[in-house]
Amino acid sequence: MADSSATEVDIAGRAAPDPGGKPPAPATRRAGPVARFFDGDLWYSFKRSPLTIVAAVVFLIIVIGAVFAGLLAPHNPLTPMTMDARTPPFGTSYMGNYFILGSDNQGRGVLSAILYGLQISLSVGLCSVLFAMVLGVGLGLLAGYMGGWVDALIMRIADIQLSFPAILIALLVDGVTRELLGQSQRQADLAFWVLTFSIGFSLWVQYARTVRGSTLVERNKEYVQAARVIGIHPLLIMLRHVLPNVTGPVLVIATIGLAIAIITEATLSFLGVGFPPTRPSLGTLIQQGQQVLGSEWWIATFSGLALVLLALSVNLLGDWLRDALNPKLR
Amino acid sequence: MAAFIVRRLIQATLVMLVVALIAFLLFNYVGDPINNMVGQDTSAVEREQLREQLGLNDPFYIQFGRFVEHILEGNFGRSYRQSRPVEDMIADYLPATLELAVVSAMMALVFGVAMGVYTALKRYSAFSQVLMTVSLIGVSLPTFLIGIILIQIFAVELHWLPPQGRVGGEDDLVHIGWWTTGLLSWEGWRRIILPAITLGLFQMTLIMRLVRAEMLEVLRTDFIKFARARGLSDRSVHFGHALKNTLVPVITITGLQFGTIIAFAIITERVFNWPGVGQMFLDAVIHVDIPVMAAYLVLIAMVFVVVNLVVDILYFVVDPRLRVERSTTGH
Repeated sequence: MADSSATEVDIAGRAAPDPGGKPPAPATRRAGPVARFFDGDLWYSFKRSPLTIVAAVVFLIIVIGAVFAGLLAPHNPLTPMTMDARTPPFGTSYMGNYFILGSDNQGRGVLSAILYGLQISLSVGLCSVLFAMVLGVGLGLLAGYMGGWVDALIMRIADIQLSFPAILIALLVDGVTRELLGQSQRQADLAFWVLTFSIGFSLWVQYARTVRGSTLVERNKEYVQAARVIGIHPLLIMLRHVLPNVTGPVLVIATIGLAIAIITEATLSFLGVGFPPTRPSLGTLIQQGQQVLGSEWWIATFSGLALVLLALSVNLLGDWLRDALNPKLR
Repeated sequence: MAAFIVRRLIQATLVMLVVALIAFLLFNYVGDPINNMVGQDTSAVEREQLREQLGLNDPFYIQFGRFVEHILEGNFGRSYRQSRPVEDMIADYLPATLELAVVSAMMALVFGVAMGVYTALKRYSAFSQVLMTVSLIGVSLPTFLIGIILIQIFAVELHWLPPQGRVGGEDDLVHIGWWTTGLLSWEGWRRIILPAITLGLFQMTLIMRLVRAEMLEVLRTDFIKFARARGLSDRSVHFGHALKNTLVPVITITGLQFGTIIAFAIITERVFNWPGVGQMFLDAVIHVDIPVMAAYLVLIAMVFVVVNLVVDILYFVVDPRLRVERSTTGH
């Protein structure tokens, strides 16, 4: 069963739409990538994998916790009270406030800080993946479709960037962007966008390479030739005709990219070049908690655990998605 | 093969030129180099003199040419913060990073291959399942978190290993020319274990998964069946035939990962307070010390280019098929 379902997905993934025609109706097997995601085969393999279900549940809980952090958090971590500081888990502070996961040396509730931290992790992760995706898919499409010097230029840049690990690129872009913005209060406010830009910029190459590869195949197919013959603008051909047919693997790269982006954000914040210490990012929480690990162990432990659960669940979902969509990897 | 290597050399030179260009752009256009060199009380006239003196008013290509020339001479300018030549700083910090990187790469390679072979041969054993699961968790754990956990367990709780630093005292460091090594003393080895594990864990799981996947692939091929049919021992089939055929991708990945190891050393060095180029770079990023950032960039690019070249040459050594193909097709 597993093999036959895989083959169907494979055939569906490779099938080209009718020459020159409109994309077929979503009811058929040759649906777009989004429809295929909810395809019966994918759902079937999801149901068959307990680990994936657990990961999905954990991820869902984290997302809900992060999105509704404002409502769910028992305390507001942005307005801490020093009198609440250093309360152990399940403890009550001098102020009479109860902390399930304890509080840190600023008096922030660890649980509340983590919920807000997850919000930051997820939003930076999603935004930077989106940025990387738009940039990478766009450039990949352009390179694959135009060919020639455009292709050569984009792909050589991609090659060179790929030689440098993402974290290094992110650090470099981060440093340069902060210098260009100047050392000011604005920097703290712009931390989100600086991080999103640096992380997103460090991740675009994979999308570009994948999309370029599929575009090279697609552009010689009849439907593209037909579109070209009737004089449709190249940009329109790329976006309306080629793009829907090359986005299959993008979803997998994006899922795995999300985990990398989240970890990168935490790492940069941990290293002191991400969010300022006043914002409860998971990275800064762990960094602060590490310094008092001997006495107030709960700060770093719980925020570290939250980060690992988030990264692990996203990674597991990405792994499953990759295997489910690509039978060769089984 | 000579033509192939020459082609790769030309490519490598191009890559280095592009990286040098980026470093140059950083150096000249991010922030004002003059502002970073002189104090507040320098007059506009003096600034202009200095600008002329340093050749900052020359045309772009002349400045770039001079920049490349300086790099080739090993002159990376002066650090804004420490006001000493960047190349001296690199000479101070580089040995620590290289030792750490090489030790963790070796560790990742040896354990990764061993575990990969084991999980491929004993695919359904409980231990293999444990290894695969742990490897997935290992990939999801951020480097800095692994470091913190290792310090907490082995240094703080168990007191087996020191938590931080490269050496306990000056005696642990041996100077050989400009190179300083901590690997000639017992204390130095004790101190490199935790950071090396932290740094190499990701690569180890990567190599393990790669070797496993490749082994499974190769074990399915006809020539393995044929080798078994010839009555060769399991040992010979597994190691002489199967493992040997997985080596090309393993070498590629290990080689490519060496650059990653150097980059991730930034994090590991910060967690373990390891005095390497990673910490130097991180301090440069925090304080926007552009000459140091630019020099680090060029340095990493050079390491990467050299490793890539070595990997390409190793292909020919490891895989005789490549030699035949190349010579028959006249490349």
